[in-house]
Order: sequence, then C-alpha cells, then structure tokens
Amino acid sequence: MARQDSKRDRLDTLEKKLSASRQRHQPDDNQGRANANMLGLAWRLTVEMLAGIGVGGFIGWWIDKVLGTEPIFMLLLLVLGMGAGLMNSVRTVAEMRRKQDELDAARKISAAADDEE
Amino acid sequence: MAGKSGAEGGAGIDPMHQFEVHPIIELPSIAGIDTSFTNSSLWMVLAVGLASLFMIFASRRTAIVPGRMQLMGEMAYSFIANMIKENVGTEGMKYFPFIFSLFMFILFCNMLGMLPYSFTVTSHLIVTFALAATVFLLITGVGFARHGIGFLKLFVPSGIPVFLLPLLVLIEVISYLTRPVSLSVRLFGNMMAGHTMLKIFGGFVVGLGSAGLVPLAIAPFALMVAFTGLELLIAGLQAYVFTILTCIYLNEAIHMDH
Repeated sequence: MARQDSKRDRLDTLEKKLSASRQRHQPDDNQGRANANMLGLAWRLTVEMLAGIGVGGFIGWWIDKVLGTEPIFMLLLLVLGMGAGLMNSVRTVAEMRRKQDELDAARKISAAADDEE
Repeated sequence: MAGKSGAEGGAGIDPMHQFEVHPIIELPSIAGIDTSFTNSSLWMVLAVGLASLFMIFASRRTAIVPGRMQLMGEMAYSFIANMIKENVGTEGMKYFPFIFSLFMFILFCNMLGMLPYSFTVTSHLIVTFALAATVFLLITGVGFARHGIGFLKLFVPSGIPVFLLPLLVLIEVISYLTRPVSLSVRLFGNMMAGHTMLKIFGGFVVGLGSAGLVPLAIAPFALMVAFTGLELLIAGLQAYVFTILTCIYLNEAIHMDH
C-alpha cells in the first residue's frame, strides 16, 4: 500500500511538473488568458454582489407582500442580501487565490527539478 | 456584423433591434403561454442540431490516429472530462453527459450568435435563467438525494458563536439562492453587452462612411475588428465559466465542503 502511495505521489509531482512546464512554454497565450481571467473575475465579483442584493430584496418584498408588513422584511433582507453577496465575492477571491498558490507551488517544484538537472 | 449594420442603412441604427424575438411559425397559445416557434427557438434548434452533428461526425470513424474532426471531438470530451475530474473528482463523471451537453449548448449558442444576421439565444435573461435554474434544481436534488436532510448542514458554518448562528444561516441561505441569478446574469450580461457594443461601433462605421468621412470611419472599423476577436474569446470563456461553476456547485453538493 505504501509503495502504491509513493508511486501516486510521484505521478502527482510529475503531473504538476508537466503542467508547470507547459505553462512556461506558452507565455504569449498565458498573458492573454490571464487578462481575460482578470476581466472574468471583475465581472464575477460585480454580478455576485448585485445578485445578493437583488435576491435578498426580492425575497423580502415577497414576504412583505404575503404578510402585509411593508417594508420591514424588504429592508432587513436587503441588508442580509448585501452580506450574502459580499460573502460570495470573498469566497470567489479566496478560491482564486488558492488556485494561484497551487500554481506557484507547482512552478517552484518544476524549477527546483530543472536546477537538479 | 459590419455587413449586418450596413444592410440596415445609415443613421437610424437601433443597436437593440438584434435582440428582438419574433414568431416564425404562429402557434396557438396553450394555457396562456404563447407556443409560437420564434427566431429564438430556431437558433436553439440549430445549436442543438449542429452540436449533435459535430459529435456524430467526430465519432463516425474512430481511428487510433485521429483525423481532424475526431481530434476536435476528443478535445471537447477531454476538456470537460478533465474539468469534472479536477473540480468534482471521479464520482462526478456520473454527471458527465449533463455537463457536456450544457457546455456544448452554450458554446454553440454563443458562437452561432457571432454570425452576421444570426440571433444570440444566450443574450436573453430568461434563456440563461432557465439554464441556471435547471442546474440549480438538479444540484440541489443531487445534494438531498446523497445526504438526505443532512444536506441542510451546508447552511450551517462551523466554528461560529451560537448567538451569531441564526444570522449567518440566513445569509448562507440567501447566498445559496443567489447562485442561479448570478450564474444567469453573468452569461446574459456578457453576451448582450458585447453584441450591443459591436452594433454601436458598426453604426459608427456606416454613419461616418455614408457621411463621406471614410478616413474617419477607419478608427471605429479597426476597433470593431478587435472587439469581434474579443467577443469570440468571451463567447468561449463564458461557456467555460458557466460549466466550471456548475462543476464547483456539484462538488459542493456531493462532498459538502466549502
């Protein structure tokens, strides 16, 4: 079992090295993709925050309409919706950061391997 | 797009005209719902048809050394298969048919929308919302089928003081409910904004050109060429983003971790 694990570990490192080296050999393509990713990220965060406010407001408005308590719930859920939107955005950025760190780590491994050779 | 704007003539260009839905075959409404076959339906059918044709041709003659079509088909397959394996794990491959169809449909709709005189199905919020709502309901269903009532634990963050818990659960529930909205608005917004922009720049080219200021029309024309390239990128990218977010949500429903 232990041997199999180490084999899998080695395969994983190889995979990481391969992907990192692929990345290094396509710099032009990467630059364009990175820009597109930043654009995509900006869009994602904006939409995420707006969606939170919109959905919160809508649910509140609907509860108010059913209970006849305008505008208590709408205001309450509007604020909660802002919180939800903000939380979604923070999560998105945290996720992006985790991925970037993984990529950097992989790059370091492959750079170290190159030095050995 | 340039040809499209030109056909409609000079100053009176309406950049929103391209988004109009009109019936091609009038059908009676059933229970108050208009069931007419519209230009939107036509382009959806075309997208489904072309995507199916593409995959049928790609897998018609399978060789060990793939031909051009087979290579493209295999690339599309492995692109989505890798996306699922990376984001969901091997259990996610059960849902491969759904995610692959979703990706191909959105990609073909976006790409067909880039053709002059075509109609961009995904530039309508109701279409993207229907797609996102399907994804949302399916994934919620998967979550409850896998974890039963325990799926609700997704809304209870760990390591939070008890007095804050009710507030955070509420926020978590709202954040979960925003998913179909943000998913659909993102795709719709990108497609609509891009196509409107192309139309406006096309209007500049034709307007300046017909006013006899042809040298001046070169600048918006060059911008339009660049924007068309960017739009092609966005068309692909947005299909990718929609699919990868579906994978991320699916992963959460299966493994229940943030």
